[in-house]
Amino acid sequence: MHTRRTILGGLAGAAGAAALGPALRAQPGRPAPTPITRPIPSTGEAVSAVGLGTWITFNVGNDPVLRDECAAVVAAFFAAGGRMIDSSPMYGSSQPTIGYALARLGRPAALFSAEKVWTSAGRDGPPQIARSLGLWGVPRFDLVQVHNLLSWEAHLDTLAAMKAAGRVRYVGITTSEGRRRREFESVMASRPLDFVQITYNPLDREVESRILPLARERGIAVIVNRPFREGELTRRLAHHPLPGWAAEIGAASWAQLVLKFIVSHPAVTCAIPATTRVDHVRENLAAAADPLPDETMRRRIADHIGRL
Amino acid sequence: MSEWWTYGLSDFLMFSPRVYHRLIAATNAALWPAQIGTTLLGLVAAALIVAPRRGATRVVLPVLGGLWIVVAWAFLWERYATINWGILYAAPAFALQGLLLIVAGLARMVELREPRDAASVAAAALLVAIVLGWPLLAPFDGGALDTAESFGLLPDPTALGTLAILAALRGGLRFVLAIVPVAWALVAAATLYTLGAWTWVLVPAATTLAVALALIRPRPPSPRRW
Repeated sequence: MHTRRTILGGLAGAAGAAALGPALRAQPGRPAPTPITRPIPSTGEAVSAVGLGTWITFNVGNDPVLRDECAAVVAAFFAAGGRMIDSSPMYGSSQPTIGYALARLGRPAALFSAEKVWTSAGRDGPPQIARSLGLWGVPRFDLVQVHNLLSWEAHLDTLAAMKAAGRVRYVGITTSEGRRRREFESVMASRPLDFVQITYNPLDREVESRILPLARERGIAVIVNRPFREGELTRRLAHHPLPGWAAEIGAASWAQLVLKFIVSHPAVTCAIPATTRVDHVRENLAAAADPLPDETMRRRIADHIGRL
Repeated sequence: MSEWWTYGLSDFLMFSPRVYHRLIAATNAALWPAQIGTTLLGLVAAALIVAPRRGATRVVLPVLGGLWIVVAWAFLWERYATINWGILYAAPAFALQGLLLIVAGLARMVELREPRDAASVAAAALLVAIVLGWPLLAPFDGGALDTAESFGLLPDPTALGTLAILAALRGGLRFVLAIVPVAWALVAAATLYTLGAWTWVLVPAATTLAVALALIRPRPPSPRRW
């Protein structure tokens, strides 16, 4: 489902891409792909099923060449129909790099800004979020998550108050690689959350047993981080030929096969692969398209990749 | 940090090798031709270790301390800290190390070993190897020449070169002066290892050698037998 916001945002992204150079413009005769979307359970708002992570890839300091490369990735991301960009105060210079890219694009309306609060003292949460807003150059974040459950009690109280005041639209919590799983489940079960962010891919599937079912039961949107294990998975798979049956679900690369596996889980809302390359961001967004694997095909993907 | 055993070194690496190497290249471009001067300073320090002159430490250590402060400001604070928030803590430690070296040198709290012994000559050789050899590691590791790391301007060769100089000193304070360089060597080795650079093995090797040389004491003259 496309809202006026997403359509206008897509136009803004396309305009920004045009401003950034001919390499980013849509090719003649080939309409920009439209990624499938997933509703956020708490509101029904649609987000594209593939977003953009920024861990390591957008931490480029003040390097003007690398900042422009990141801006090109963001432009291609919006041009391909992407919405969610995720970052954290922990990610070095990723936040100002996002701000630089968004400013160059004229702040696309399609943006779904997903940030985190990451500080051990509850009182430091609000000023940190304010700093992050300044670095992004946005008036408010769509989503603020408690990074790795750090001081989650205090920060969730802060975020609940901010949400009630209309200063943030959604709140959530994050973890990675299955850390603090029991505490994570406990918070999911006991606190009102819009989003959780977890690690999930064909090799890291522990969340299938409890966290993903709990998210569906509680109506919590799920963001998937480290879909490629920070690139280690795709580098490993690159040594093997893509199976012929990948074409049955329209996967033209290992990255697309992995992403289709992830976003086809009914509890998953959005996967956020990180990249520094325009061709990769296009490839990632193109994976969020039908046909997606059914349960039988999902098992086949996991079994096959697990054996490699 | 809970469940610390689930974290690996790669979980703490928050930038790519490309970004790190471009950072070094940008630093080199901004500071050129200071690389020539700091290399010469390192060689002069090695020469003074081999042929000690009265009051040499009053010159060598304050100059070395000044270089630590240059590294703290020009590389760590101005550049590296933009991609690694942990460096916000390392930069003051480098500045403090610089001040300690300046004070220790001016107050003659440590002195070069006189007369020179085998350990001092080995320490001088290690210093020359670091000053001249470390910049050559970049091309050997597949990097561009503009990513060469020079003693006195970038932290890894500065810390290792300092350990070599400290190995040629006498006075208990030399071990205090080695704390920050050894700590940085551990950080450097971990960073290079996680970046996938084979050169990481040279960091603990040089550190171990320098510390071993510092621990070697000149053998007291044996009593004469009549």
